[in-house]
Amino acid sequence: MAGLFSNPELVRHLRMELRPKRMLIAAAVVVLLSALALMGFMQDNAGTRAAHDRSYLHGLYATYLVIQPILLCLWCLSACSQAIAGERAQKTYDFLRTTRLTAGELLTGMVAGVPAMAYFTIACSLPFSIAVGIAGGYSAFAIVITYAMLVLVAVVISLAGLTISMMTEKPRAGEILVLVFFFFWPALTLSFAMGGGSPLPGLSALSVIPGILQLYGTYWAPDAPFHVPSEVPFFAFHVPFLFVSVVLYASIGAWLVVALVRNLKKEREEIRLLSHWQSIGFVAYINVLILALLDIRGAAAGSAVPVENVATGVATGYLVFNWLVLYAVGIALLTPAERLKSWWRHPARGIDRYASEDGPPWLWMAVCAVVVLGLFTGLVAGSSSLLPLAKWSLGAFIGRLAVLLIYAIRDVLFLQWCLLTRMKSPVTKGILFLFLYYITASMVVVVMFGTKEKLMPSAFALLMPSGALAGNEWNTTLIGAGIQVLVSAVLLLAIQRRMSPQALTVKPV
Amino acid sequence: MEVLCARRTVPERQIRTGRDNFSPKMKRSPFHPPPARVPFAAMIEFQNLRREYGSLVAVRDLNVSIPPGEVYGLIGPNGAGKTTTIRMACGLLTPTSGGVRIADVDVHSNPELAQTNIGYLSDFFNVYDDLKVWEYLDYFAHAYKMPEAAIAARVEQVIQHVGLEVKRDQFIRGLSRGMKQRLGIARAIIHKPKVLLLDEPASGLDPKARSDLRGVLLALRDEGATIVISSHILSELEGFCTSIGVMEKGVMVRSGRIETITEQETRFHVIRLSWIGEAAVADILGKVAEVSNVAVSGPEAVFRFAGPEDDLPNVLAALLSSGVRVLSFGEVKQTVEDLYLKLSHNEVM
Repeated sequence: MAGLFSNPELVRHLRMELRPKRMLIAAAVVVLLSALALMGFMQDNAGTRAAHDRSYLHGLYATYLVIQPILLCLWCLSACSQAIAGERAQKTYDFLRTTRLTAGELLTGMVAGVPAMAYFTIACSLPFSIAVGIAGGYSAFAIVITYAMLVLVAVVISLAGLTISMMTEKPRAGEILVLVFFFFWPALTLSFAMGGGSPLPGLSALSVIPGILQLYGTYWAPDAPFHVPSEVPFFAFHVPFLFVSVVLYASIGAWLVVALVRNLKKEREEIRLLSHWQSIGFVAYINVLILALLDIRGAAAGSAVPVENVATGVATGYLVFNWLVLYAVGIALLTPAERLKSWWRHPARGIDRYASEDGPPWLWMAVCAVVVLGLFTGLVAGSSSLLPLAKWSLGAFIGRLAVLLIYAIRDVLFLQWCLLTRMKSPVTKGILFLFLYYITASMVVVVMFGTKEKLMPSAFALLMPSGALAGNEWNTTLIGAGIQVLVSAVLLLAIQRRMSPQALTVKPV
Repeated sequence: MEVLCARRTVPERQIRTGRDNFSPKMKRSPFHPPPARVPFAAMIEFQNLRREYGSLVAVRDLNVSIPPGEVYGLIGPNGAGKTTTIRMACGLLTPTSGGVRIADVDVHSNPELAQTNIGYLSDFFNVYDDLKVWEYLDYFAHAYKMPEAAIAARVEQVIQHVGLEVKRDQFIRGLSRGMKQRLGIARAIIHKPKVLLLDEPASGLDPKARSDLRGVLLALRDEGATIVISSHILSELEGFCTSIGVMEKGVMVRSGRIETITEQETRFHVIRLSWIGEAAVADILGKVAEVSNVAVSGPEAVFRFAGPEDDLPNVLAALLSSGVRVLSFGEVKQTVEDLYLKLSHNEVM
């Protein structure tokens, strides 16, 4: 802890944010608002309330528990999402990068220091909220766990904000992402628990609110549109909801720390979120996490569909999910243009050539696909009770995964080519071009084969990975995959051309 | 390892792409005492340094060694690759190929150790307005991991060095542009770096602030710091640099000590002469074989002399013996700008 407070970056932020006058004003505002809230709740129904009735304290405590997290999380996200991009825009970040502070020290200072005023404001209100909670009859354990969770979530949100800020050019872009994030996250996480028929009920623990409510003996209303269980399966064991929240937040935070420490001191154009081995670790982590949270029998119990059919649906979902994971890993592994040129012009020999961090991403995507396959095969072999695959063939799974990998590699190769051009925001534009391709291909197929129902799936399978996703039209799917291999070869040649040195235009004297 | 300025054996290609005229026999400026003995010949060494942005080659296979104590002016038009070179030298930008060694430490493979030797200042920059002057310097002293016990004294010393004593406890937002630039210099030297990399440090400053900045840099030069300073305003570097490197389109067209380059590039001396009274100076000079391009303007004349320097007194003697009452007779020194115009390929400045 003493080391934390001697962190120069933290000290800088504390000096900038917590000047005595500002602290006094913040503390005074918090004390005033708390006193007003207390008086307001005491005054409410004061005449009719019994002397020992502490319900008004429950109301006040609940108010604190709504305001404090919203204030802290929004403040952390807003401040952190502008921190690095703001410093880059101000041209002060270069000076940080040329100090001897390590990326880890910079990160620690930023996470704790950038939202220092938010933490201080919440700290000022803590004595009131804790006193109100204890006076209201809540256990100290529940109160301590609640605030520990609040800090954990705030730290993870700060890390997410810093990651956004590290990758965006303008602070405004970070702010927009903040808003998108806050609008969609609660809806997304609670949708995992919707209707009680989800095969991944544990993912709803991304929202900590149900778990916190359970600490105070409050469960989600049975007639609510979605059901949040008090316990969720985790590696086939039933564990408290909040435990899964802690696992999810801690592990997400750990991955964000890995990405930030790796890139914090790099030029923005040279950022690559994960190293090759870290990407493989990430793919393994996310698959293990999904398998840990999988609850097929629970999902089947909530619906009239036989468990085998649910398992088949889950396996297809698993395949689609991993296709998206392969895309994400491929994008995270895109080699910065100058690094790839360096690798190309000064190649190492033997295995070092392929293991080099400056090398191309597609080989490592294939390794990631092998990891996915290994984990899935292990699951099938090890737990037929969890994933009863009566209608499922491992060979077909491998074939579908291979086709999806080919499409993912083709698209990542295209993005890598975009990176080697001088276009602005090459990855974003490349992704938009890919969307354009898929939309155009769909339109062409629908327009040309819209009236020929038998031909349409084949046409789709030729241009898109729909055959591999749906598990049909194998012949045209394989022809389509062959075409994509050819396209990938052309893209490789185009990339190769971009990496050749240019001719000299000025002669030295 | 050879003495001070000697280069290591340079491959043919390196010589071709960047001539380097440092010599161990060069005289040092009287204001520039020789630095303490160091275990390496070059304080800064660019080795095949190259940086590309897409298809644009911003810096092309640069090979330069800068000895300790040198003040090296990196000159060239906008877009020549000066900033890219300096950013690679201080570790902010990774080269496409090649490398930079500063005080014998590879900047890109051992960045944190290398930063102990590097002070960096860019052209337009901001500072943390919400900090006080001493807090700003204290932060960077800690960030450079100076010994805790030495920090307070060093902060005070540096504040005095750049003349910001009266502003010590003021917020940075209240400082003028020139003062902020001085604070930037203070930040760059707070950790006593062996090398200062300054990228157009006088950009946007008024003449007074420029003069102040020049004073601070001259003092640092006299203390023996190795300084690389880039500029496209050549008068800024006049009388300040001991060596120059001329860059164009990413290529180092010439690099070396100013005297050496001047000597090599000067095929004639330019002489300025003034006298009192009436005299047919043009006729007298016209009789000297090595004299050409005589331009007379009133009681003054400028002419070229292509002979050896030792023969110049003979010209003066010829004038005196012809009855010319010579008031002044001296060689017009070449400015950095003159040198640049000779060496460059007429790129736009």
